[in-house]
Formats: sequence, structure tokens, C-alpha cells
Amino acid sequence: MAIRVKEPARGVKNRLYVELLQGMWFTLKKLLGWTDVTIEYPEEKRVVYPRFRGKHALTVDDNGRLRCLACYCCARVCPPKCIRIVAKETDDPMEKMPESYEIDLLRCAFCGLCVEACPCGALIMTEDYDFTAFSREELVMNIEKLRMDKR
Amino acid sequence: MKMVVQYIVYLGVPLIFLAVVFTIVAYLSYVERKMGAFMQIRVGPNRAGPWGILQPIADAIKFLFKEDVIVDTKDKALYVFAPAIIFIATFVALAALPFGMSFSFMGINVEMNVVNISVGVLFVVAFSGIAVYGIVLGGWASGSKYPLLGAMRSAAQVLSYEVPLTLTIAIMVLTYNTFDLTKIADLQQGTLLGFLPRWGVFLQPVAFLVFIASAFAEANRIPFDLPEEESVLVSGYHTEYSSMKFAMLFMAEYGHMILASGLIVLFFLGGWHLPYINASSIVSAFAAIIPADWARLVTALLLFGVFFVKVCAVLFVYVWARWTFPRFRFDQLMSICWKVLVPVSMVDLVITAGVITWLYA
Ligand code: SF4
Ligand code: SF4
Repeated sequence: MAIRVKEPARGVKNRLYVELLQGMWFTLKKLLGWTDVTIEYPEEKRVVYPRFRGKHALTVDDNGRLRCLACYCCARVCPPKCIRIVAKETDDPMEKMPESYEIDLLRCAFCGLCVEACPCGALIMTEDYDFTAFSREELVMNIEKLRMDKR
Repeated sequence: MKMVVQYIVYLGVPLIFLAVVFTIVAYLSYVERKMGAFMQIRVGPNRAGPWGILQPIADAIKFLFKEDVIVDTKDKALYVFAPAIIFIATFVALAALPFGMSFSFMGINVEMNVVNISVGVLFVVAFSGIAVYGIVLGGWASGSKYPLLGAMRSAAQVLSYEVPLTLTIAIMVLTYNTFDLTKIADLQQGTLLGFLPRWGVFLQPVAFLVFIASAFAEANRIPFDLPEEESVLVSGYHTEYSSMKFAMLFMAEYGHMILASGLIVLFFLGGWHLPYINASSIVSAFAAIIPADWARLVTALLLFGVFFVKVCAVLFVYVWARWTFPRFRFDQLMSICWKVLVPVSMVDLVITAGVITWLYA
């Protein structure tokens, strides 16, 4: 059983359907205005806001070494568990470094928690948002693809 | 020799008409998208050619090469024939539309219509009514719920709106006292009360409004597009159709729009005649500078241009309304038809009949 809602009182304007004509006039004005707010995507790109969370990158220090210590903080905090790290030892007995470091961008939610969790600023997020590929494998990032030498 | 040329003309004029109709159909979809885009501050199709002008051609190629998915139902024959029924009914109805002044050029008769039917009005009404069979059968044979719902709505809607539509057509037939669309157009020359063009819209303004509303509903256009309501029914009766079958439904829909616009122009907007100027005076004006045969030819082409422009103007209103209005609820749709349009057109019919009897008495 439908609930009947009392319709608001209709004025003269409504009864004469002036509003229909007003609507037509509005769309006609827009039509003759010829403006658009479209960003023509592949040619033009949207300017991203500061702290935009795009594709990840691994930073390097002054000596050109990855800053990452393979501490697994990012992998542990990642909600969809899309970071996979294999650690290896370095010359320094106190430190490890990643032997492989993979982020599956197809599972990544771009939440940025990994970046927040990183104790040494090794993992950052760039402003790059248009990455596409023809296969799933290409979207699993490894050290070569993530490494960012200039900062 | 003359016979041969005569037959070529008989064949050629309808072919040219067909080409014009199909071009309008193709470019109407483009114009519709482009206009909608501008009204919504977008750009619309702009990749195929400059300003996307080749978009209809790209669409046609895509339709031709798409996989033709045939739904696995018991009513395959109906499923396949439904688009054909709609398509044929619509385009056969279009054949009865005259589109200009018939004339003779160097002894050759050039008829500006596909077929000259003395009861053209009835023919058009009959065939545009058949299209709803296609919709209902297609919706039924698709074997899924959304097309079926769309078909049911369409049956209810089109059958309801056919009543005021036919009543207004009856009013116009009474007014002009003929069923011949060519004569109806020719009767709209001259002036009314000395200053208005003698157009149907000034003779019968109420019938004009009712006719426009019902014609919108007949062609399943917003705000009466309940049978193919995208947000509720996916796309109604043509949900399960793909490839050329979909293209046929699509073309038939636009063909129906052209038909409705043509009828509006013929009944109410003076057909191919310019306001205040009679066709015969245009011919004699041209005859003063060029031979009479050529004068008739030029006039006929000019008047065809006038008809074309008028039809395009009405089509523009169709598209314009589509991007302006929201759609009705189904009960509103029905109550508008049965509580407003039908009584109004009935009263109008009675008044018209009374006035005409009084005038001729
Ligand atoms: S952005 Fe979020 S989902 Fe993506 S890798 Fe980092 S923690 Fe995981
Ligand atoms: S949290 Fe930072 S340092 Fe630790 S493994 Fe991840 S990227 Fe490397």
C-alpha cells in the first residue's frame, strides 16, 4: 500500500506550466553558451592536489642506495597485503636490505598507510596516476620499476 | 525517352528522400549527443573527425561488425522479427509523408512524395500504430524481465496516447476537410484574420499542444520514455538486442521522431509553405526572370528546403526537451493521458465539429 504524501499547493506559475518553459530557457542558454568544463584526458591532465596518493616509489640516499631497510613495517600495515618483501643481509651486520620488493598495484587501495608506516622515508607516493598495462604481471611493481633516483 | 526519364524520376525522388531520411537519422543521434553535451557543459563526441562529425559513420561501422548475440529463448522467430516489424512499420509510414510541391518539369511529372495516397493520414496512423507490436513482441521474446516490463509499459503507453493523437488528427481532418496530406499542406497558404499565417497551429492551438504531447509519447521520448527508462529498466525493450538488430530499433526510433515531426509540420506548421507567400506567387516571381519550367523546379527545391528546415526545427525541440525534462512516473503518465489529453481533445473535437457544422449549415 503506497503512502500518500500530500502534494504542496500549486501556484499559478505551476498551473500554467511556466516552469517548463523556464527549464527550456535555462537549457537553451546553456546550449548557446558553448562552454565546457571537460578535461580532455589523454592530452590534458588534471592537476593533482598536494599529497596526492599515486603510484609508489622507493627513494635512494646520497650514495645511491635504497633507503629501505626491509623492516616489513609497510608490508605488515598494508590492509590488502599487497606488499611482498624478501630481505637480505648487507655488509653492515646491523642492517638488512630488500632483495626483492613487490607491490601489487592491482590490489593496492592507495590508502597510503605503507608510506606512513615507513620509519625512514624509504617509501613515498608519487603524483603519477595514469599507469595502464596489457597484463596483470606488468602492474606488479618491483624494485626496478619503483626505484626513484632523483628526488 | 520521356517515359524512361519519367520512370527514373519516379524511382529517384523516393531514393533521394530515403537518403535524406537516413542522413537525418544518423546525424540526429550525433546532434542529440552534442546538444546534450553542450547543455550539460560537456564537449560530447569529438574524436571521430573534426568535432566528432564522423561519429555516426563510426557508429554504423561498429554496429555492422559487432557480434550479433541472439538470446536463447523459445521465441527466436519473434525475437528476430520484432526489430524488422518496428523498422518496416516506421519507414513504411514515412513513405506516406509528402515533402514538397509536386510540379512538372519539361513535361515530366515530379511528385514530391514516395507514394501519393489520398488517405495518407489514415495510412500513417495505421502504420505507426503497428510499430508497438514489434516492441511488445520483442520485449516478450527477449525472455528477460526488463524488456518484458518495458514492453508492457510501452503497450499501455502507446495505446493510451494513440487515443488523443488520433482524436487530434480527427480534429485536423475535420478542419481541413480532407485526408490527403498534400492537400492539408496546401490549405495552409494565405492568412488568417488578415495577419496570421493560416497554419494549423493558429487554427487549432489546443489540438497542437495535445498532438505534440502525444507525439512525444508515441515516439517514446523524454518525458514519456518509460518503456526504455535507462535507470530502471536498463534500456527497456531493446536491452537484449545487439549489433544490427539494435541499430534497426534505434533507427526506427529516430524514424518515428522524423515521422512525428513531419506530421506536426504538415498539420500545424504550414507544411512546405512559407508564411504569407503562396507557392504560386513564388513560381510567378521566378518565372519573371527564368523559364517557367525552371521557375517551378527552383520553387519546388526551395519549398523542399523550407519543409526540411521546419522538420529540423521540430526535431530540435524534441532533442531540446529530452535534455531538459525529467521523466514522469507511470501513474502520472497515465493520468496525464486519460485525465487531461483525452478529455481536452474530445471537447475540442466536439467544438470543432459543432463550429464546422454551423459554418456549413
Ligand atoms: S597504499 Fe595502502 S594498500 Fe597500497 S601498498 Fe600501501 S598500505 Fe598497501
Ligand atoms: S617500511 Fe619502509 S623501510 Fe620498512 S620495508 Fe617498507 S619501505 Fe622498507
